[in-house]
Amino acid sequence: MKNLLEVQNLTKKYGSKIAVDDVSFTLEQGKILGLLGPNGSGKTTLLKVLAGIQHPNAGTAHILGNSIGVETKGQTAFLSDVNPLFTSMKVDDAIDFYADFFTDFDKVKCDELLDFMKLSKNHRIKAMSKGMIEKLNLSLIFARRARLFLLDEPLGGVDPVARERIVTTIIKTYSEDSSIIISSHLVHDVENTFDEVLMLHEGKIILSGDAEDLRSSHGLSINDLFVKTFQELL
Amino acid sequence: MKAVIRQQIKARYKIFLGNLILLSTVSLSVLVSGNANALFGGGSRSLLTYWLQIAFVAIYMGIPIYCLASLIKLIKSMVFQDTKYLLLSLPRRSYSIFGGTFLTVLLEFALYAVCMFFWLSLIAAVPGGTKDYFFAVLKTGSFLGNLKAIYYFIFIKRFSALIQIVTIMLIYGTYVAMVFNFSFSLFAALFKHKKFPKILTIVFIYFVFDISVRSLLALSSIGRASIWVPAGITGLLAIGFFVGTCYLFEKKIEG
Repeated sequence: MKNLLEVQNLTKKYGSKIAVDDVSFTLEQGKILGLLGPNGSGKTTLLKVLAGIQHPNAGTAHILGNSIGVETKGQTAFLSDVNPLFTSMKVDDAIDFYADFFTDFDKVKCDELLDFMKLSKNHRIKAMSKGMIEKLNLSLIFARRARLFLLDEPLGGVDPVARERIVTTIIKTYSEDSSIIISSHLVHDVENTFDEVLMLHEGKIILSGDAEDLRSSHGLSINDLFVKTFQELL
Repeated sequence: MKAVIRQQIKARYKIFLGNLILLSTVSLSVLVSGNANALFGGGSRSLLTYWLQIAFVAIYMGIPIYCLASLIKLIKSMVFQDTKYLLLSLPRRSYSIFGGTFLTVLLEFALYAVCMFFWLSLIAAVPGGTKDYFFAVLKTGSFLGNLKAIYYFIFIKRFSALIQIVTIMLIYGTYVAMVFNFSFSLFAALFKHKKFPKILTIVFIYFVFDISVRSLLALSSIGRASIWVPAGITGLLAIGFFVGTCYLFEKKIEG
């Protein structure tokens, strides 16, 4: 299958600190990649570079053959680990905002997702809980027909019911055309969605491969493998 | 840029309409209560006059201050809040995002200016009062005559002066706004993940203005240069600061 994302020798530094260290990997169309690692391992930085928010110090990243820039921002949907929406907005305003800026945004799909997430369009963002905001951001992201979805801690700080809805949305949104990268600490909740896994430690890749192959070769679930790998390292 | 302007209008129109309603209510009250002359020091004074004077000064000074404050801190919400992740992930260049926002505030400012001028012209056209001694144009003795004289004076007789004043205000206003926005971006880029150094920013802005004013005064004194020479240089500097702000926003704020 065609590679949607190609990352080669990518390095990102903050001053003298290396956040992402010479990372290379590819991601095929239609695949879901689990990006795993403890805090400070470089997951968020890697996602921000792929989203075009940060710029690498060395190496390259290509999405559908285009190097990261304004064009790839139109093909990439980034779910940040913080709420990036203007708090003065209502849900309706946020939908209009996305529809204005992203040509691939589908309002009908967004309505369906909001219904599924049990969110009202009249809610004011500043009055919404963390879980509701997470679900809203996820609905906005997945209402886009983007080619690459970058989800940074999509389950962070939400209750188990909301988590289940979010995971269901991720699975429902899966299509052969697009790929998803999910960064999460809550490996157990999302591991069944992974086709591939990439574990980062201090910015370097320490383990990567097909999720099923890793399960069978180590005789462990991805969650147990994650715990075992980082227990040895930390 | 159209999408940026549309979104900005949507975000700002309620405050804009509120201010406009306030401005019109106060101005209309001055007119219908017969206090147009009292406002300028003439006519009889009552408690209502004092209240109207306070409201009038507050609104007519408050709106320009609000606009200037909006202009100089445009980039602040873009670089110091989590909304920067949304803005930086948009498939738009930074000049389109920042420029579109700046143009919208400028348009809002222009609309306020037109409305303020409209109401002021009506208030000034009311015959009688001390203002007639200061403005030679107000000597027709009738409201409509005065109004016609004001508009004739400004839009026909002194139209080129009006254009020059508006252009100069636009250049220097843009310059001031860009210096502030550039400074915020610069310090946000330099002090990532740290507390925003307000004192350092104020000192930086002070030095930029100090150097600018000294340079422009020196330039103006050389051979009595036209006002357009320093204005042109200021305009170029404003463009430079705009480009610098856009560059910092796109490339350096998040690294």
